[in-house]
Amino acid sequence: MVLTDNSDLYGAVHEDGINNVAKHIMRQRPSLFNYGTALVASKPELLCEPIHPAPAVIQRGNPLITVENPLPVLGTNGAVALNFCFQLTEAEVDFHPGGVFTLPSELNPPLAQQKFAIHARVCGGLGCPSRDAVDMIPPPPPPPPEEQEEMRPPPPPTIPDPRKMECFCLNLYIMGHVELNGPVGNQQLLGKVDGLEIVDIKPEGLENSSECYLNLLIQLVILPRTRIAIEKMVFDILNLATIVLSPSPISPAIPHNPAIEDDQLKVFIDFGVTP
Amino acid sequence: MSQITVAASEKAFRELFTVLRDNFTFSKSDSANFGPFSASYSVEMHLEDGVVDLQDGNKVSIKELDIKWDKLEAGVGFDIPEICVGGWCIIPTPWGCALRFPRICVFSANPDIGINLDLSGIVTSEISVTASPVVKYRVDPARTLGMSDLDAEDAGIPNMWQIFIDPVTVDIDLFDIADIVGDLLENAVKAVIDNLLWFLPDFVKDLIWAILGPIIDLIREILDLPDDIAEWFSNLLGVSLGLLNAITTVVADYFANKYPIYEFEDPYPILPASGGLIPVKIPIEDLSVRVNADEMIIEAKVGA
Repeated sequence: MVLTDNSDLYGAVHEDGINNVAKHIMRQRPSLFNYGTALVASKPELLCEPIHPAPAVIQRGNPLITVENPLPVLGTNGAVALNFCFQLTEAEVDFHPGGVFTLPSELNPPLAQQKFAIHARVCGGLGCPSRDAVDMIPPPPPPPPEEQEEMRPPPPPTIPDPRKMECFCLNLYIMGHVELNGPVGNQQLLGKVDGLEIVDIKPEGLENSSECYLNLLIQLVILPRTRIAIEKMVFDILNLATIVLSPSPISPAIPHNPAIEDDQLKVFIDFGVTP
Repeated sequence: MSQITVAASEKAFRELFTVLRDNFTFSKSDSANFGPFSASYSVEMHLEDGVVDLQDGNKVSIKELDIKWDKLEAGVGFDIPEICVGGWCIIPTPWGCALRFPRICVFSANPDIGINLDLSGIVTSEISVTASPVVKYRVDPARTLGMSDLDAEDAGIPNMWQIFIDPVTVDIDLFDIADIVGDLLENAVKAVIDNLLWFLPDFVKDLIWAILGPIIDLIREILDLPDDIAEWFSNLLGVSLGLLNAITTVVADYFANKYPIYEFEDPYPILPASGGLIPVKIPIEDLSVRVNADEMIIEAKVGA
């Protein structure tokens, strides 16, 4: 089989390769995937799921968690706040014909042609204080007058020390396709979401609202940041030639570009050389 | 099965080769003085013709690439110590010398004897190379057993994947007789058409050239036949024929083994170190480069 029968260049990446890269990033840069308060950072045993970092992370004293401010209790004017943690514990991709994981029934398995799926497991936990501890929290002071509020910094919040976190974990499934986006001359490889499902979350309104929010987050924030600009892949060779890469046009020989098939993401690229 | 695959077609190689060849020029001149002996040279060259061919059996060949010497001048000079005779006084007087014998000096110039060889625009050299891409994994001998990948990177001795070009055969014709004679003949015929047959209309001149051009090309091809046969035989055996070619292959082999055409760190950094965080690196396994008659394929796996 000739890979470049219908294009000058051919590139393919297998789902196993992408999943291995994801695991390496999660192990070597855990603070990108684990968030929590300073207390959680100092007591990782409070996390919902243990982190398995690469040895070098510990040897070099890198943080396991990105420290965030405690979650304020609404109406206390920031006087009371709770410890929390949020973790992305698993992330894996599956290209057609699938097989890395099983899609939930809501996304109509098996994975259709030219589709990819992503499975992510997210966990969250709240440092809920015991009833006794709640009784010990002093009532929040009344809000100061506006002129005083600007002059005096607010006192640090009371953060009740939890014995453990109240945790939940959710499995998130995304199904989508990849397309070339943008005007000719500035095309980019971009993932598009066709369906999203959070498994086992009730009631339905909460599930739909969560899915709606996550869908927007993924469509508007995450996927645009992971797009690949093909047109900008320009290489200078020895200052004698400039190579400009552009996607091969769709034709009967190349019905899909990019193509998702054989557990791989494939791209067919044409090649221009100019002095 | 590989997890990362990149392939480049023979057509892509040929397009790249054409642009690189057409834009490559080289010029250099220098001179040196060694007391009574001096030498100088001045060269300018560009490349013409030649074709890249991907072959089964992991081979890439560049066939009959012409090096056109636009300027090829060399000179040597010899400075012989000056010798002077005469100058002595024939008629001395109390007030000085009234008549002196003429003083004659020889070898006063510098250099006294100069030999200049100017082959500009006449000489064409030709080179044909067959080579194979070879992948090697390098662990720096200075790396100790207890060193982590990060320690090795900090010490400037990370493991490297390296791609070398291993020359299988090299065929150099310093004087490509076929092209030299062909060019001389072509220039002579064009001069005759332009200068002696100036009174003819242009379309008649074009017609004459259309008839004579292929004959000159045929002469060029016939003169090149012995070299073509030698190159074909050399390619078939995978051995450079001829003393010069054998020496060139050994020298090319030596340098090709020392200098990779491309190398990258393993594990390969995909996120740089920042704010005290270590870089994120992915191990690359089973890197291979192979060539067949249609394309060059690079494959690799991401380690678990």
